[in-house]
Amino acid sequence: MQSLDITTCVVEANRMQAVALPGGELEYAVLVTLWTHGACSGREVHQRVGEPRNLVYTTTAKVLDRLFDKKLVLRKKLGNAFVYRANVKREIIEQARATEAVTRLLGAEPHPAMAALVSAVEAIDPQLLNELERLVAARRRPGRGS
Amino acid sequence: MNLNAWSQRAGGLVVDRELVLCVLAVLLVGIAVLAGGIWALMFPNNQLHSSGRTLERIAFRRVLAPLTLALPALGILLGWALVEPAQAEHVPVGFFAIALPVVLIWLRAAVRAYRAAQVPTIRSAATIGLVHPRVIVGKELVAQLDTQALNAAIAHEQAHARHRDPLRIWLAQIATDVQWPLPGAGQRFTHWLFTLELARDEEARECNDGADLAAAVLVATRIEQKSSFACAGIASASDQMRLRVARLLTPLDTTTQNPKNLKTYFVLISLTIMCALLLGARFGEFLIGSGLQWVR
Repeated sequence: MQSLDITTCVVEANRMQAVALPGGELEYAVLVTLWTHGACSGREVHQRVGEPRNLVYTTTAKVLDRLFDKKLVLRKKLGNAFVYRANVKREIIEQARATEAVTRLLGAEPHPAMAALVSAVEAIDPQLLNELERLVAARRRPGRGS
Repeated sequence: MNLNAWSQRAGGLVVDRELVLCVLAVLLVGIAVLAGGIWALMFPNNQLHSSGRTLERIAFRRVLAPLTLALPALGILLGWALVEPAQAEHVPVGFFAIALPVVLIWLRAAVRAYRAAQVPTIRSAATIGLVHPRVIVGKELVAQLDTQALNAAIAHEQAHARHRDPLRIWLAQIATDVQWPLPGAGQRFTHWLFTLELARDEEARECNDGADLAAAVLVATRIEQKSSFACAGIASASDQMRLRVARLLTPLDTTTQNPKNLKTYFVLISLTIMCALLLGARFGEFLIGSGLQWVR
């Protein structure tokens, strides 16, 4: 039997940013407008997105604020008004939307083909971790701290 | 009545015998796997063994057990195919429609298998590689652990690599997905993943202190909780963490219960397949022909 070559690699953790998706048809429509027409004022976005949908200006403004909070758009103040432009490429959002649609169809994400030291960590109570850390620290041999 | 005569009476699509056999194989195997999944629900997860390695072996066999029913189904079909005479000519469309749900389940499993093979970013430590497993340790973990804890963590991951656990996890995920939508399959898979960590903890503790490994586990948990790509939480995650650390801090149990001999399983499986082949050759015409008659 061929011996197993176990190599250990130390890697830098890549800080990958999850893509925030537009939350609904209206937010997506605003992004499409910005991708199509470039930088637009809030009023221009409302004329193209809000008015055809019989929405009031404040609704469009709130949508733009949400997109700004999600870092999907940037804004710059010119005079008394903000000018908005898309902060993410259309291809990235389209790919993320397609992935989300597939995920809804296929169910929860499958377990990746890897054996991690720990998994399912999101649901672990932080107070439990504090308690366990104290327990382990007390048990470890003196003279070695963590 | 052979398949050819029956097909001619029923009318329908003109197909090759091989296609009919393939569809029959999909249908019978799919039904057998789902039936196996229902049968496995009668056996709860075993928590009595103190040895993590024994627990893991039992849990892994329970993950794969439903698939064993597919073996006699395939054997019967093969036995029948060996003696089935002329090419089939006409097969009702309904025959293919019945196999469609199984095909969709398998397609879903195939897509999920592809997605499972895409390994996410690792911040703490993990073993990756389906064919050539290798251990990956994040710089953040290295920076936060002392030498003893780091060695214990690496020993744990090296145990995963020795047993080719990335491949086993991938195959177990596929075995679980072909039993969709039965809920028990996912529970057995999740339980096995937990026992897998307990088993590798035991192996790591042969040359390292359990408290050192426990310290590494807790530091890794803190690191992964900051990650955007941490695995989705499960309801019992806190209980499992508490149990895992408790086991690491108790003396290692060196008395391991001997599992059933693997050779026994191979002999049983071989005998089952041989009997199924004979059954299919002798009675396949009656068994499968009756089923197809029902479709008509």
